[in-house]
Amino acid sequence: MRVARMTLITVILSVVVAYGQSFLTLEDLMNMPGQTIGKGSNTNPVGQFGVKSYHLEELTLTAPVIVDGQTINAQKAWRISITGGPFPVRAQGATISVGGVDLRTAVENGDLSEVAAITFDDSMLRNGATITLSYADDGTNVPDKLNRGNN
Amino acid sequence: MKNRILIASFLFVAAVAFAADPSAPGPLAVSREEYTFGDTAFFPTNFPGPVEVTASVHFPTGLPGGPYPLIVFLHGRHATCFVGGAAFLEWPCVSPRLPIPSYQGYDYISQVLASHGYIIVSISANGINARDNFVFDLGANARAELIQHHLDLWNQFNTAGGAPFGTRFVGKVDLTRVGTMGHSRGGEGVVRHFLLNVSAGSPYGVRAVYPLAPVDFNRSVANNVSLAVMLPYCDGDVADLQGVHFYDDARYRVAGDPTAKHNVLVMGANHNFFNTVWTPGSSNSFPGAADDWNAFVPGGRSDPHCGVVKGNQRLTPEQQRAVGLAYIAGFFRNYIGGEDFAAQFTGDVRATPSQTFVMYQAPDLLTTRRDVNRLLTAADLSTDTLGGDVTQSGITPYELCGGEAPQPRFCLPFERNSRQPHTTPSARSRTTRGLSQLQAGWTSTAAFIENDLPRGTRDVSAFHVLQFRASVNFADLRNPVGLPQNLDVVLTDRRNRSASVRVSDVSGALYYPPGEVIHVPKVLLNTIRVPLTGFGAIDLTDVVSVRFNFDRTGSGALLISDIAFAN
Repeated sequence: MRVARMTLITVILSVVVAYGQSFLTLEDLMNMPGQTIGKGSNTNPVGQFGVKSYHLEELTLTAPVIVDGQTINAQKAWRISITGGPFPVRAQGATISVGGVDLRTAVENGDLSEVAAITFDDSMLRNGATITLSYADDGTNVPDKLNRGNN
Repeated sequence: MKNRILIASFLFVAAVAFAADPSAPGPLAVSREEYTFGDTAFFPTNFPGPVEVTASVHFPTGLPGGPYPLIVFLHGRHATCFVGGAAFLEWPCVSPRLPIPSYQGYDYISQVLASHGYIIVSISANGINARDNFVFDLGANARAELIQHHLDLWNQFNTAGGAPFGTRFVGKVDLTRVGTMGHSRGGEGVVRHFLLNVSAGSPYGVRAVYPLAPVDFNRSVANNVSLAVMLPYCDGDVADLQGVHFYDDARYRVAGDPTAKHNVLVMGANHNFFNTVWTPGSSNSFPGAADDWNAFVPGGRSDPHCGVVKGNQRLTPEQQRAVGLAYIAGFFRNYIGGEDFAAQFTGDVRATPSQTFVMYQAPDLLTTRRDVNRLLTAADLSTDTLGGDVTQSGITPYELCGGEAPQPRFCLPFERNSRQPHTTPSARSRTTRGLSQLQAGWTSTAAFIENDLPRGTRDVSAFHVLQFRASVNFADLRNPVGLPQNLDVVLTDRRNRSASVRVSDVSGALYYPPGEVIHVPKVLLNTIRVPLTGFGAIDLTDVVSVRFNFDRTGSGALLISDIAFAN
C-alpha cells in the first residue's frame, strides 16, 4: 500500500515537473520534437565515421533555456543533425560547423547514428553552406549542402 | 673521449642502481571485489543527470597490515551501454542493454599495485560520459566530485565501516596517502579533483596525480603535488596531445613548489590500449573498442610510424600496457610508497623496452633546481634568469614563440595544432597561450648560444645534471628529414677551462619526429639531462657559462626551453 502511494506521488510530481518546468536544458532541446526545415538525401557513407547526410529542425521554445548557467530567452532554436555512424564516443568532442562557423559542442544520440548540435542563431544556416563534422583537426564534409527549403 | 667514458660509466651505474622493475608483482596475494550503490546514486553539481556509484577495489588479501595507501583510477569518455556487438550512449542503460565496464580496464595495473600493499579503487563514470557534452566544462567538475564522493565513502569504510564491506576496512586505509590516475577525460578529472580537494581544505592527502593521455579543455593547473602526464605519440583521439599543458603550465606558476613534474612521451602508443575494455581483441573487450589511430585518423593506417605499414613502430596492446603499468606503478610506488623509482621519471633510466622520452621539472627548491634560463620573455634572450648575459652567434632565427603576447602564438604557423601540442588551443580556454620556446636555427658549425652565470650562482657542484628541453623543428628545412640533430654542451669555469658533452652521447631526445599522416610528425620538447660528471675537467664550484655549440651538424633548427641545473 505504501509502495503504491509513493509510486502515485512520484508520477504526479513527474507530471508537474514536466508541464510546469520553468526552463529548458540543452538535453531537452536535443530530445524535443522539431519541425524539419531541411534535409539531405545522400545515402553513401563517407569518411572515417560513415557520414551520410543531415537534417535541420526548427524548435519552438516554450521556456527560457539554461545553458552553462546562463539563461537564454529565445523563441526558437535550430537543431542540425548529421547522420551516419556509428559515431565514436571519444574524448575529443565532436563539432559541427556550417559554412565554416562552429556550433556548440555536438552530442551523439543514444544509438550513435547521429551527432547533433543546437544553435540559437540561424544566420549561418544559409542555403548552399557546407556542413562539416570535425574532431579538433579532423574534418569530414557532409556530401549534401545545406538546403533549408528541402524538407 | 674521456668525457664520453665518464658519461657511459654514469649511465651504467644509474642503470644498475635503478634496475628494479616497478611492474613486477609484489609479495602480497590480492583480492578483487566490486561495490555499487546504484546507477543513479550521485548527482554532481549542475550536471544534467544522475551518475552511478560503482567501483572495483583491489586490496591485499586479508588486509594483514596497513593502513594502506589508496589509489583511485578514473576512466575516460567512452560508450556507456551495449547489447550484442552494438554500443550505445545513454544512462542508465535501457534493458536489454547493459553497462560497459570501462572501470575494469585497468585491473592489470591494480593487481600489481595491490600486491605491493595498496588499495586501488577504479571508479565507473558512465553517467558522466552520457551527458558531459551538455555542460560547458565537458564534465571536469562532475568527475572531480565523483572522485571526492568515493573518497568520502572510503573515509566511512575506514572509520565507522559500512555496507557492503561492514568493518573489514576499518583502520586499513591511509587517506593521508592518496594517489589518482585518470585516463583521457578522466585525466582532466583527476587534476580538477586535486584542486577540488584543496579547495575543501584537503580532507584527503592527495600526493600524486597521473593524467594518462588526458584532455585539458579547461586549463586547470595542479601545483604542490607530484604530477606525471603520460602522452601516447600515436594518440588518434586526443591527437593534439593537449595534456602536455598540465606539465607546461605548472612549471613556474608557484614559486617554491616542492614537488616534481614529469611528462612521459610513449612512442608508438595510441589512446585506447591502456584500457583493456577499450582494446579490440583483448580478453575483456566490449563494443566500442577501437584502435583509435587507425579508426579515427583519415589515412592513419598508412603512416610509417603509427600505422600498419611494414616497419611501423606501433606498440602491440600488450607492449603498450607494459609501458603504462611500469610508469603508473612506478609513479605511485615512488611518490606514495616512498620507493625509489625516480630515475625512470627523470629520463635517466627507461622503465621498459619501449621508446619513451621524459620531461622533468625538478622541485623549485634551492637544493634541487637552479634555473639558468627559463626563456619566458624577450628579456631572456639577452639576460638569463640568473642575471647573466646571454650571447649568441650565427643563430637565425633567435626569437621566442608560443608563450605570452607579443610572442607569436604558434611556433610552427603553417602546421596543424596536433603537430605542435605545446601551443594547441584548449576547447574551453581558447585564449590561453602555451609554452614559450626559443626558436633557434643555424647554418654554420660556429653557431652558439651562451648563458653566463653571474657571481654567486657559479657553484653548481651540488647538482647532478645540466638539463634543458628541446625538439627538432621538423618544419624547418635545415633539418635533414629523418636524421637526428646534435650539439655540444660546454661548461666553462672561471679559469677558462672548458669541457663539453655531446648530446647524442647522453640522450636520444633530438630525434627527428617520425610520421607523416595528419597529426604526425609533432614537436615535443623533451628533457635532455647532461650529467655534470661528464664535465670532469672543470671546477664545478666556479662555472661561468653554459654554452650550446651547434658544431655537430652543418645546419639545423631546434625549439628550446627550460635550461637549468638540477638533481
